[in-house]
Amino acid sequence: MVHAQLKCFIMCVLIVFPVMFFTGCEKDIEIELKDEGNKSVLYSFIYPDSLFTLHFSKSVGVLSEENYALVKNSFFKLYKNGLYQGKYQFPDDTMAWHWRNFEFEPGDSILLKAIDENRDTAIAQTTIPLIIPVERLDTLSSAYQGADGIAYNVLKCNLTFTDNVYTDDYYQLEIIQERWEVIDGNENYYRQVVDYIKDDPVFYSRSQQGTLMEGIDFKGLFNDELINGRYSLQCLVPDSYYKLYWFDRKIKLTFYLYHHTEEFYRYFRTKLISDYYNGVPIFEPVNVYSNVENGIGLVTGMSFALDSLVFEQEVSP
Amino acid sequence: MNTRTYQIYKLILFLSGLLTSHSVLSQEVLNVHVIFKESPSGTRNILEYIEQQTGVVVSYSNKLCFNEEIKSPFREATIRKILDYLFKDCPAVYIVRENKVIIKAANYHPKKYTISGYVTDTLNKEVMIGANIYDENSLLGTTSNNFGFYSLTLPEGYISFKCSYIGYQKYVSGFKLNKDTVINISLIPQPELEEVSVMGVRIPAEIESTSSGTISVPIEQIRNLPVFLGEVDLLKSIQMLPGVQSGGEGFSGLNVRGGGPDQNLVLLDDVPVYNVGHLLGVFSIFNADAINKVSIIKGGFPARFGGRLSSVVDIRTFDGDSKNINGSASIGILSSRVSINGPLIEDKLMCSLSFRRTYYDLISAPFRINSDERNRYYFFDLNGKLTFLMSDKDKFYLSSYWGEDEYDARYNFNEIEVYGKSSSKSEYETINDQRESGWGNLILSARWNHVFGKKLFSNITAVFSDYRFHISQTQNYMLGDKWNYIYQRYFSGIRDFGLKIDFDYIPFAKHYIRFGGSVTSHSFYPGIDVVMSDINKISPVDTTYGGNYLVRPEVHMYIEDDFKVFSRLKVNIGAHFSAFMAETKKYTSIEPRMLGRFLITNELSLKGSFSTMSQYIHLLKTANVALPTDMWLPVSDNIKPMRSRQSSFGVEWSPAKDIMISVEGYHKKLSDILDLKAESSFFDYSLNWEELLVSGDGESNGLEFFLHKKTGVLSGWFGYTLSKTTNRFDELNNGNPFPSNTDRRHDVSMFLSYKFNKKVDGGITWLFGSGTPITLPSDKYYAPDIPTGQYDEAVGYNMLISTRNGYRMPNFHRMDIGFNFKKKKNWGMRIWSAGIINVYGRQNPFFLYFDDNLNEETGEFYWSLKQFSLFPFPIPYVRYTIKF
Repeated sequence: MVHAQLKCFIMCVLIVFPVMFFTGCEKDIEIELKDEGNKSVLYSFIYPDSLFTLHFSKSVGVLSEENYALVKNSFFKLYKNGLYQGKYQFPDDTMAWHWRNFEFEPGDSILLKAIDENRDTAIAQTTIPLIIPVERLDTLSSAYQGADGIAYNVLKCNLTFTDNVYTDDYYQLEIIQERWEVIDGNENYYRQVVDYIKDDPVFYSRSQQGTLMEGIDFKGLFNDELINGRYSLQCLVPDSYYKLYWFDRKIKLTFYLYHHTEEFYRYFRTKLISDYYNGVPIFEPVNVYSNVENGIGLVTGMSFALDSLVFEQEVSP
Repeated sequence: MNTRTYQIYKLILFLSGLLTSHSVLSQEVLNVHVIFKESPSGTRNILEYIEQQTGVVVSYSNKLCFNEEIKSPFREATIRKILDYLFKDCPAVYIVRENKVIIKAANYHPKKYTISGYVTDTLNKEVMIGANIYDENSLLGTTSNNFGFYSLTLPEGYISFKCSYIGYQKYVSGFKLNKDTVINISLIPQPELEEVSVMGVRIPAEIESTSSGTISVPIEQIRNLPVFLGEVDLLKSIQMLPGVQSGGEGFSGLNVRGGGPDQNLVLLDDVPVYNVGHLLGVFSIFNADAINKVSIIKGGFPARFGGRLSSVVDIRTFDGDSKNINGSASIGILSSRVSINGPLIEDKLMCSLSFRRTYYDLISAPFRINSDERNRYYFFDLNGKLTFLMSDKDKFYLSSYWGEDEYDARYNFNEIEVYGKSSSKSEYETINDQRESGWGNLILSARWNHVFGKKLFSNITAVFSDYRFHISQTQNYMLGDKWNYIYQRYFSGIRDFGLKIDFDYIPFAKHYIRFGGSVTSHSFYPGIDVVMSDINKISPVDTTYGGNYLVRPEVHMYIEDDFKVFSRLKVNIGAHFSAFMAETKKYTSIEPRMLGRFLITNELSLKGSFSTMSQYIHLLKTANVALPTDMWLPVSDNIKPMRSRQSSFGVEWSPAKDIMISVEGYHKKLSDILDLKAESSFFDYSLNWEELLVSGDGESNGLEFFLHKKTGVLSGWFGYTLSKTTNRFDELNNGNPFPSNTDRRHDVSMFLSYKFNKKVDGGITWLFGSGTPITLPSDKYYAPDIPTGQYDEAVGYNMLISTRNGYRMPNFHRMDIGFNFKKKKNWGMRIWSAGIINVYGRQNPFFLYFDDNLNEETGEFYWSLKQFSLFPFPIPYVRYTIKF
């Protein structure tokens, strides 16, 4: 892993020096921390035509073993496109709950107010991005020599979509592999995320995509800085994800083109960076982005379009 | 005539009478006869004899010409006649006040002549930088430059010509100056333990100089400091000076007056050095055996320096002995060193070579030979210098430095069958996979000194400086039934080619003019991957991925004049011009520089300075500590140059011989300084590196106290700094100011060296620093799974940071102690050095982190804040050195 490589490099060079290795030591330290906590934490990822799920909890002090505290006697108010949708009690015994009585569509703007038992109000708003359709999905079998010098058989995929040139847009390409196999008459189903080769310049700007100094994997997240209108996004799927073995009945690759908000883009990126640095104290800690006023967390809309490829075992006549 | 008019008339008559009587009296005093019963020699002695014989008081100006060998040719003569004879070479006027004769130099412009030459050490013939050269009669003087050259223009006549340097016997010569003269001065080192006058100068050099915020530490003192594992470390010695802090305990990084580690211009024989640390900065790359002189300028930058905001560390290496071969060899726990220097052609061509290498890898090699994974680490330095004395006016130098850190691990050993090259028989060969990482500098310079006439000294330097960091990996694999390999390499760095020309022009003793310029072509390598695969070990295929290197030119020009406005006021006024070409934008800067010194007494001076600086390259830091992966990058169309404006005011006092006390306050404003954005990371390759950065402003204010005794039985220094450094970035910390990472309120350093006798000396250091800022979170809160994609490594919580650098690390303090035991041998000298670092085992923090703990009584886990210390207990060292 990238993270492991970085840590390995730093620690190897540090630790190779035996004196440093043998003499270094750790101990508890007393610094009067502003052990704050008790901030409202909101999360909601809002898709069109899906359940509305809200996470509502409280932050805790940094030295707490728990990661959150439950809220009590709390409720939230929801506004859709400026219209009040109602006031709802948040359950005391959980940190997340679903509500079926909302319907959202792409383009809806949502305002959420969460009120705790002290009547402190955390506010967040978002807009569900429009669905950006996948116009074409072209494929070509190819060979690819990675920066590690190893050659792979890959499926070169070109996914075409049209970006709105007048707005700043944020995307994520996710590929899911579903596999049905039959062994000894038993049918098994597997589902996994494809670790595809991000060969398109939208995924990186700096040319340090080598294997020895790998950067952070942003999980297919990109913005439209290099895109101006219709765009053919290229990615390479290693053959291990679509190659059919004798026991495979069918493999399906589904390409999800997520259209995200800027809030999600910033949250996800900072979350990935923050986690990447976790446990390596020589880095300046990174604050994870939040779009919640008077609180912390992320309330965001998202939408997606999809297309798929199916690989089936040829049945012998 | 009314009463009033009569009174005025009387007054005029009185004054006229007074003047007439004065004139008459004058004639009488000057006509007094002197009978010479003895034969005094020397102008001063003859004047004294006149006083004794006649009772007439004689006072005279120092601007007169004095001849220490002159004798009176008269047996009896009037005072006038004798004075006319004594001052026949430089006309004088005589003013008589009652029974007193005042002799002043006549208002004429005597011819001036120039004395020039080089100052060297008698024993090893090394040039002496900053030696004080002056005429004691006129108090006019100068100092030798970085090549030991000096030029002093004085009025003709008898002069008392002197040269002094701390730790050396004074050179004295009295003669009549009546033509341009070349004097190459050889100074003799002061015998050890001898507490005689080493200053002897009417005004100590530090007091006399306009420079402020400048400290030079004798290399001998640096060698006597107790040091980690016995490795003499130039930069750690500099860290102990007021206004300078380390980048972390045990590390060689420098933070000067609130500036970052990339704001220091470290010059090795005029060549910039980009990475100064071995082993991630635990040791500096400079081998003390090769160093002749080191000084640091923290503020009050003369116009000849530019390109960095916070400091100039000027390191000069030895030229090589022109008469004898000498050297030293040393064995320590970590490394061994050897240095040798001497003439290749006597008085013509000298050579100096120094080499240092760690040998942990060599010692441990036998223990690793059968191991499945064999790791090794080492570093080395090689300094070389050739000095060619082409003529009295020309010197040519070739200098080089090559140093590297290398770490490698070999694993997956396989014995494979290969076919012999000369026969058809099979042979066996062991192959293995390998990982390597390393970094290093290669520095080359060629310099030519030429003296035009007597007053113009020139130095032309061609410069090459290259810093590289690399990681590489070799993997062998089977393809079919044959072995193949893939070699991958990543590297980053900076490479400079430059040409520099400097002139020292000394038209009069009161002026020292410097001017010159430089052109540098920087090549930045912001990360390049190279892959080479060999199919069946027959046809290598080389592939280079991305990493376009950037070429950026940088130009500097300067002019400065260090001149005496009047005897007590001296100023250094100059301007520095620089230009840098980004992608399409050209950045320029005109920087005024002003330094001033006012002498209150000959031992006490007030000093002030104002300087502006610009910096066109910066370090993209990987982490909070210096790592070799840090990348030097240029300003761009979007990233402006960093700039600083610094003013300082201080007092320097020399209360006794070789003791210097200074107090200096400074105010520094930094603009367009760079930091990583709150939401970015060095390892975020989805953004261009320019997009990772954010620019802001900084301010540093401080007061520094420094007491320095450079020589004697007891020597050392005490330094204290009170400072505050804050930064403000619109995009960081909600736009609020926050303490800079380099902010340290109190900093104390003390070093004492004592020579017990000719065989034993010892040193003790004590350092204290109040805690540096650190960012710690205030809240922990839930983080849900991301609904898109599978993110297995996700941490289930987030930390909220309310304030940047809102906390302080615990205070730092440490005491080190060391002794040297010397013994003279037929072939030279041997020295045993031993000591202890961190004598009282203080656990100083290196970094802080949160971690889980188990309460063994309750069986519950709890979180706590922990500190990691690198050197938490006393660490002894020993080193054996021979000098021949």
